[in-house]
Amino acid sequence: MATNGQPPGTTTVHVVTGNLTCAGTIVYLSADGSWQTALERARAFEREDEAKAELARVRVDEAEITEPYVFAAASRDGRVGPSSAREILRAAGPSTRLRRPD
Amino acid sequence: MYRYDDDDKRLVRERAEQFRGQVERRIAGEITEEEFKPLRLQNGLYLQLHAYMLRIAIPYGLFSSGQMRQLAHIARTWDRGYGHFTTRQNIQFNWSKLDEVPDILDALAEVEMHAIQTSGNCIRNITTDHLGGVARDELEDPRPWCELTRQWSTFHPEFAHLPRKFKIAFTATPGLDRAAIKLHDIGVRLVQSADGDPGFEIWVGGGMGRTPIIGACIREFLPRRHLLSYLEAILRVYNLNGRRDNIFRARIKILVSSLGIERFRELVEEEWAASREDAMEFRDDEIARMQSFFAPPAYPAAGSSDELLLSYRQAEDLEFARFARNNVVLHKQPGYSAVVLSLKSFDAPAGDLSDTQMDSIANLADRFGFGEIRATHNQDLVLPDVRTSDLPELWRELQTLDVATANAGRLTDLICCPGLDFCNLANARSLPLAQEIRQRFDDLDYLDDLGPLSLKISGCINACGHHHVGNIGILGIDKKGEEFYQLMLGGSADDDASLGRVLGPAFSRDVIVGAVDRVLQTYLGLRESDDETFIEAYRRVGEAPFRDALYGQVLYANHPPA
Ligand code: SF4
Repeated sequence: MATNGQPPGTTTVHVVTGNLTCAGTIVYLSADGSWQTALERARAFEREDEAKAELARVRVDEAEITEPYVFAAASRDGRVGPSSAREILRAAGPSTRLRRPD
Repeated sequence: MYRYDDDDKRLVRERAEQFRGQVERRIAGEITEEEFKPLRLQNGLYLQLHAYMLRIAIPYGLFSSGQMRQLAHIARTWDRGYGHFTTRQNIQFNWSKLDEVPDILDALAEVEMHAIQTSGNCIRNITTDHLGGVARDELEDPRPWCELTRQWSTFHPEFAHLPRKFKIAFTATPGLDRAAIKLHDIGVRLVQSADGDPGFEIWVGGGMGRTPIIGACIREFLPRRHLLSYLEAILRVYNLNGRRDNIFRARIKILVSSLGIERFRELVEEEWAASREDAMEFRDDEIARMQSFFAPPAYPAAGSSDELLLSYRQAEDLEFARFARNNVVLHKQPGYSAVVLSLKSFDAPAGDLSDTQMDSIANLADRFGFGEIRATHNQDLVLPDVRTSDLPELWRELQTLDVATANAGRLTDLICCPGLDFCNLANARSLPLAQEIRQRFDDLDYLDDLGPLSLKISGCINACGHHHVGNIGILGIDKKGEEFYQLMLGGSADDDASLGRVLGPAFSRDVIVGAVDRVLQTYLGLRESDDETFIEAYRRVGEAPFRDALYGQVLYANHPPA
């Protein structure tokens, strides 16, 4: 799972993520303030401190979101993608064959 | 096996009911995650990488066909149709939804199961030899002692908030250890005194994780009626003196090694002398009552089947012969065998079983035994009471279920934690690596040529995959967001326990399996005879030839180790 050596034109952005409290599903904070399951729909913060300020705001609603945090992602041509092994797997799901995938 | 009495049933039902209320308040936002987290952990519920994960206790790895069917039902109804057997003889479901967990706990309570104390800083599931009660080489069945310890430790108020988690394991075979007791916070071995009195040898302060330590013997002989008072004295000394200021220094192994075993022993003996008068002491009738739950089933009379098993092991059907050699264990009851079901087939994730496999295995446990199944710390299953003459028929059934790979105790029967595919703490993936190793070395002749060999993989330093005690251990590490793997050699979890050593820099994902291959080639090249096992050869020659083979040549010119 190569994560470095990003292509030219790639910039680092910051994304707010967490798990929905009831379902446990991974979600990302979008531009309209809703939680979305697709990373591509996440709001890309150019500055980490902006993302952290937003993190402090969403933390208040713990009934909806659990253990939110900010991670660094890659942005290219307006598309946001993961740039660490952990976030690649969070976005794409387990890389092993499940006994019975959904 | 032990059956719940009315008090047990009420306790487990009440606990499920209590958790239902806690979940409702969490979802309603009436309690914060900080308040809820310790409550969910006490009920085995983690928030993992993708979803909640529920860990269910299988006390000392023993469960019934009915319980297996209920696990299948849970997998089908509330999860994604499969479960994962762990290195602590438990089972995990990876895709739980918080609001459905109370229903799962109710379903578990129906079959005398629960998830209590499968997480948190308390005494966890008691583990033991998966062949307890049927092993021909054991002194005595360890399971009654496991159950007595389980009952004592469940909801023990004094030990509900220990400095860190606490694991106890039992074994009962002289000179052999199938439960890795020296790698546990407390290890208990059933022994006899010089006069033939039954008792225990007690080990303390072993463990893996960030600081792997092989435990030390704290008492060579403890009369058996004192088991719980002595365990209580150890736990009390730990609870009072263990560090709570640093999570990485909080396990009992750190306390024992910082005080030294002599001083730790003194403290425990002082505490024991002061408290044992008032502590619980087993009466013989109570021991006998507990042993009666584990009395051997009513085996229909049969003569010895040793000759028959020998003939199976030399059968013309080479596949069956290999299965009989590798996956069938001699039983103490004449005419019977214990059979290892490998959960490490060619392309299945290690330790996983689908709901349909679970149902089918439950049926086989009834048809070819007395409805009992064991989970092993090696992430396999055992059918413990199979008539030896039924082995060919059982083997054909197991083949259709993809659990008949004849690799028990071989390289590809590896231990593997969930790693970065599921675990929130992971640095690197372990399941796909395990899969690649199984596929690359998918040659049973080659595996038999290699002989007994343990390979263990962890996705981070917490060592749930026991990498420190693998003959070959692999540890996933993170280098700037990329997965790398440290290779270590020379570990063993057996009676002659040893910790593996890292031989050099970590390998990237695309060369780590090649590095394992290089280690195997080196072993084959230097062993003195076909009978010299990997660990024997490693201990004889040391790490130098392996290090040279891995790092001394330009093996990885295109993919240099980091
Ligand atoms: S060893 Fe690390 S990655 Fe593997 S299950 Fe344990 S905590 Fe998770």
